[in-house]
Amino acid sequence: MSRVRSYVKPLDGVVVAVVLLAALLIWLVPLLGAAQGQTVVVRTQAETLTYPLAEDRVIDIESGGYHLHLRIEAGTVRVTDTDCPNRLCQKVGTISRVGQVIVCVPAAVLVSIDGEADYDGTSY
Amino acid sequence: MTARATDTRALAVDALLLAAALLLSYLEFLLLPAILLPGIKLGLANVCIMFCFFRVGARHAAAVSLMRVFITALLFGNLPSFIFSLLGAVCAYAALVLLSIPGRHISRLGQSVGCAAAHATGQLTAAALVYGTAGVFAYLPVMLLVSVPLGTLTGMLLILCESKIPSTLPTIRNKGNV
Repeated sequence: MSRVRSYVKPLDGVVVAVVLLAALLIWLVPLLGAAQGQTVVVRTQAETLTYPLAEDRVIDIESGGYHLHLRIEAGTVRVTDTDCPNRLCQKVGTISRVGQVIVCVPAAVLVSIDGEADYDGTSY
Repeated sequence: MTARATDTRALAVDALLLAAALLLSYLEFLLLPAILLPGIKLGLANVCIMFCFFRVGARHAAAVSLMRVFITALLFGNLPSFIFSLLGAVCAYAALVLLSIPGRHISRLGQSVGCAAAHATGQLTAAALVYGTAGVFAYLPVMLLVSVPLGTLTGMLLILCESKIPSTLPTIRNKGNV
């Protein structure tokens, strides 16, 4: 233990403190303002689709050679299944608040929540 | 030893460290699905970059880091992952330069944690640019939090490497004009 302590220098603590403080601040800021979202925005390589968050539905997407199945349910959205090997988008779980996102890098898909109800249910 | 011989030697060490960094990147690429949180990796390749920075020289480390990003992207990346990786590496390098200034008032642990945090910030900035939304910064607190233990771990590995890897390497910076 004393060997470990001999390695640690005062500025190490400062670096760690700054990193943790930054994490705390960035975590707190969106919580203050984030409201329940209105619209699900799905951006793929080819198109941008919008859906109302209030209506339950299943969305199938193909992008970058991968398939994603999204489910809008009870005001939240999540990726229920994907053939992308990472499955990170699935592990994110459900999102519902403005500014929250689910990203799938291999398929180049971004699912985000918008505040304004400017959806029309079509792609543009 | 002549300056040219030292240059050649530094080049060989750079190439060796680059190869090691690539292998470690590949190892992390294989381990990625096993890690539960999205976008989190150990940052083992950074051990090589930092080793190069302190043993061979700052400019050598920049070259090795950039080459690692390019080759990793060519071998197992796509365009978004290349941009993420590039901005992450640039930010981590900037942090390394900054954190090397305090000299003996900071240890490899603090430097490594700083690099890890800067890398995470750079990657998410790249994601924000690629996807055109600041929403991805919602991941930043988690990534910063995780960068403390993971940065400490890679810092400990670096301390181990620096104490175990023989003294033939550190003569490079002292004898040559590199």
